[in-house]
Amino acid sequence: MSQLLLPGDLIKGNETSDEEISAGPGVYCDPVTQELVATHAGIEVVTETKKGHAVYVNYNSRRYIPAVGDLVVGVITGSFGDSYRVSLSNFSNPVSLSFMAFPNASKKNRPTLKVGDLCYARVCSAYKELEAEIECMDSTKGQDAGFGLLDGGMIVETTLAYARELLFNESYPLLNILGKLVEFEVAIGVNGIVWIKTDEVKTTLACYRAILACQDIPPNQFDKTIKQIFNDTLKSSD
Amino acid sequence: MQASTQVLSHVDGSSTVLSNGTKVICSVSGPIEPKARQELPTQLSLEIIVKPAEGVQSTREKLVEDQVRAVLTPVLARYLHPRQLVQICFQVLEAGERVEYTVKEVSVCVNAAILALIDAGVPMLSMGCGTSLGILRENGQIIVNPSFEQLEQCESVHVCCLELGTDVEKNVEVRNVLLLDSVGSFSETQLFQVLEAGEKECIRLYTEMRQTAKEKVARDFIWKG
Repeated sequence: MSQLLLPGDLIKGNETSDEEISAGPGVYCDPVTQELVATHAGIEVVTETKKGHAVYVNYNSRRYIPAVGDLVVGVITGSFGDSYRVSLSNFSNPVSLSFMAFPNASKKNRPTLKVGDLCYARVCSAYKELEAEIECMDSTKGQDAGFGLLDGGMIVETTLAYARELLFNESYPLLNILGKLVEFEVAIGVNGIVWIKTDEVKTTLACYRAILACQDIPPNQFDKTIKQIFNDTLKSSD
Repeated sequence: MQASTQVLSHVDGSSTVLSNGTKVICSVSGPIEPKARQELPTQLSLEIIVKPAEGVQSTREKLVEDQVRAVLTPVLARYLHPRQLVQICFQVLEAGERVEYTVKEVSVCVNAAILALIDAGVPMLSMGCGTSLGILRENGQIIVNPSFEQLEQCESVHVCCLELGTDVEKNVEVRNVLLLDSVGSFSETQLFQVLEAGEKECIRLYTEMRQTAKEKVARDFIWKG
């Protein structure tokens, strides 16, 4: 079983070899003593890299902190001169989405998002002292990749670790099980917002309930639980 | 100490702690957007609110808030979230002491706050642990975590909060004294005895809190089995 780390636990650095250690999320390098210390409670993950190895703490929380490259679902809360103001989670600092950060954008060609719209985007700049920025195209790869307005559907608020699992773990069975029952579109933001859309309200609601329920149970119970939820939701008369 | 985390659903982190008749529920939201007057240019600001078991907030609760703030400020990795705010709310459910005292509430609030901060995923450089102690009037015996009745029979009462962590060899290390507050009459030797007993108790509480945090992580990653 993987190693558990709690805040205040020192992390062993290999002092004898001059191998480099990259510190990821949940690991803090003391600016004075240069010691590595864990700052969150979670599972220690050590991976080999070209230069040495990388250490990070895989922890769960509900509050999203923007980081470059993250795929997020945001709500437009305002529009200013040349950018939108977007909320990635309630009560957090808003982030900005420039009008120029859309595919085929130009000075004359303005995007048509309104206040209250949902959009799928990528975090392109995240300094802790500055307002984060998101974009509706992948500027590192060039063209649009399914970013932009999310029309209709419904959002599910989940914990961050669960959202990451849904997005990155291809062998996680939840979406496959849902796919066998109903045809749907999904957008998963690592800020803990999952957007889901099906043709009917009833099936959307069933998916919403299934995603929430599976957050608290191990994968071997998914089949039974999801079938139960679908039966209950689709049969209900009101 | 009986402790549990993830008890509230609309905040980022929460915990309840019950210890010898004193029960506190704590909620943490953050890092969130601060009001303009709370904003600190280089570091995380803290908003601490303590609600008493009976009646409304008074200067007594302000004292508890200030002591809890003194404990939490050095353990948080404040410079990781400049111009942000963490809101920590305590509701005392059972005081477990007369209004003349605050020792039990302070120590339980500290433990509850640390667990709720872990639950919320607010970065911390160490863990903090607090305990209350009393010295009996009749024989000078030190009572760790006194009950309501024992507190009445004490000449002096104390709170001891320590900063704890684990070193590379997985040994528990005490890194600092975060709070040592005493009320009543006592001698210098007695104070050292209090510190000694407090340290022992804090280390014990630390291992208990690690266990609670471990259960939280297991629940968080239920799909990893």
